[in-house]
Amino acid sequence: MNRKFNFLSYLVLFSFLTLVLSPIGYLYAQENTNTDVLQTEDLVSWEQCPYDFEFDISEGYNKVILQHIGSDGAFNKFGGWKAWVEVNGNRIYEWRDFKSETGSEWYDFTTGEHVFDKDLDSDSTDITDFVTDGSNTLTYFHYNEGPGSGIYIEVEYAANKEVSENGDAIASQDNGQVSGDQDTYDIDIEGSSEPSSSEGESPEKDTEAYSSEQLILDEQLDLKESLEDRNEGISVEETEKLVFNFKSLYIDMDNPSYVFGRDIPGLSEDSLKEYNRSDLYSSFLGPGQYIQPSDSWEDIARLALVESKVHYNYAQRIGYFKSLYNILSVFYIIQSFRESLTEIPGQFNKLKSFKSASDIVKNADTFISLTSNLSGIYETVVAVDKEGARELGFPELDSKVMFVIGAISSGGWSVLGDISKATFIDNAQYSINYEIKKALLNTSLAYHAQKIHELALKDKFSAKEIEDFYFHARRIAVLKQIDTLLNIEDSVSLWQENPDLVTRAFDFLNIIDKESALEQDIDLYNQILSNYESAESYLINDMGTLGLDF
Amino acid sequence: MRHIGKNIKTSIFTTVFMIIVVFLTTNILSCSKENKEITGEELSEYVLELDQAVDVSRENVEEFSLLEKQDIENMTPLEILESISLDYQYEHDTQKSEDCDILTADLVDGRKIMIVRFDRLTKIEAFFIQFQSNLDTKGYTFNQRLKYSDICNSYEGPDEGAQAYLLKRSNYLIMLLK
Repeated sequence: MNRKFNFLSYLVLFSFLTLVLSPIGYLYAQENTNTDVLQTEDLVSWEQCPYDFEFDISEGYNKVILQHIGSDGAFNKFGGWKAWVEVNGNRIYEWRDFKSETGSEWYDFTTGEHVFDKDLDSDSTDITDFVTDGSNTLTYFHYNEGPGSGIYIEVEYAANKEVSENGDAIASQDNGQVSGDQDTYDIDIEGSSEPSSSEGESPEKDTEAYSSEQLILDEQLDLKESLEDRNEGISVEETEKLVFNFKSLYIDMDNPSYVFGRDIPGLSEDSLKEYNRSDLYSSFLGPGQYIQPSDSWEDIARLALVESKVHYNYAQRIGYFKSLYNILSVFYIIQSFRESLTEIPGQFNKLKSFKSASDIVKNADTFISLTSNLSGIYETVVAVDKEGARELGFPELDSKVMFVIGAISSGGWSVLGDISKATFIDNAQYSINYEIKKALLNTSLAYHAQKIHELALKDKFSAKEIEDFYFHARRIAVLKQIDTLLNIEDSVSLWQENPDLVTRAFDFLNIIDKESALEQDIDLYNQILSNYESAESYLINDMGTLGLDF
Repeated sequence: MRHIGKNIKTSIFTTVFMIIVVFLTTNILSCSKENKEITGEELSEYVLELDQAVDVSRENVEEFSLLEKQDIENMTPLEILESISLDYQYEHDTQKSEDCDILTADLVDGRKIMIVRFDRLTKIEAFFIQFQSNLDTKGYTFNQRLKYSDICNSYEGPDEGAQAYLLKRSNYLIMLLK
């Protein structure tokens, strides 16, 4: 009886202590962690993407999580249609597909898993392993119409770390203000970087300066160290020259064939003048015989600009937009199309009117918006009725191609892995969008070639400019691969669709082109494709040698 | 009497006022209904602007002029050939292919006509654009858009003076080589 009483007494005492001590323990735990929030002040619309969000984190962080905030204030794990996020160049997640049964399909790089909207069990992503002390960059991309989505980063520190008050953990962005919600501070990127919570006190570090000039210096230092590691025989002075006078010491930046390891077609200024006086020009045909191996990046940009105009014009003249009208008319068209459709004529006409590749560079947003509008329309049509869209000439692949062309000019890298020669051939027979894809692709090509041309005019380069140089050069190599795949698609398309009809139609028009000749065309394109693939590898090797990320 | 007159005026004013209110309300409601029920066709008008910006030639192609007012959807390929042969003799050949019927004819005056009837409207849309995309690399140069509906383009052939006309209408593609 006594034992039983003792046991009951202990049980009551234990319960009492648990009840009393738990809140204390909880409070203690709370006091030992300190959460800081870094977020965009406004929602990020698709027009602003890819959007760079720079933020600083102090030492001693325990955990960093990423969320998106919708216009309704709700927190989400992912950030919208076709969205992806990179932190310090590492892909965190990316949108992959959409099915009405499952919602969007995502690939979460932090876990290596495919995730479907319907199965989501968390509204955040742990990005602790992808951030570092100091400056970090998050790049966000999405294609959602409407107000967009905000970025919300929560950093958990040990309690003795007064992150917000001393201004160590600071976020900044290119085009606006950033605020922290809890432990608040505001930074005006245009003005002072003093945190509002410590007005009048100087911050320990001038973070704004750090995130721009210091970042470049850091990059240069890294590059030098990386070069020194590889080239033990090269002195620091020589390495420094390599970084700051890259042009004369390492590669011939003015010469595209030197960079790619092979000739790239181009159009010289004189050839352009001759072409403009020729029947080819007045017939809206491409420059054909005037094309020659390019001597400069400007030659490449010039040819691409001319080719883009030829394809824009041809698409319009043969009735591409009439077809688009016919196709969209039979689909149930949602209101969100209205904005895209309204914008397309203006954007199209503007791109056709460009006189030089530098016009494209100055108006890159027009081109990026047009690709976005078209790929958005195609994508929605495919989502409404995949088979119907395919039969009408809108295969799923086309929206991806458009998306890639737009994305790689807007600074992103996108989902190139999904696009192979086999996929192009599989979809070839359905696509009616060849001319418009070629037009957009050449605009993108002209943009990148012109950007390199402008860089190549410089005598000396910063590390950032060298990185930019490789950025554009590699995208040219990729665009050339897509261009070749489009040529394969165009050759294959008719023969795959209805060989009997094509044979009869070609016979009728006395065109000597047989299905059997297709193999030869494909062999030729395979050779060209392989050239550009190896050109890309060549560039990747170069980038690796310089310690650049790709 | 003056008092009664005033009442009549008031009731007339009230009636007119009510009519105006009802009229305006109906109009507003019907407008908002229209906006809500905007069709795909109306929305697509925006991209149609780009097609309508293409210069259209008034060149007369007698064969197509003859077809312009006919309901070709309900005609057979042979009936179409008959109506555009301009009473010249011809030899023709028909073939049933995947998704379409093909008729080709050689006329004694040197003209050639090819008539393709697609089983489905969706197929002609894709073929018409794809085929033209290939033509420019096969020696045919786009010449001009012609006035005929639904869409008609002419091409200069590789042989001197050869002209090809492509007419897409309904589920028919009609090619004329002169």
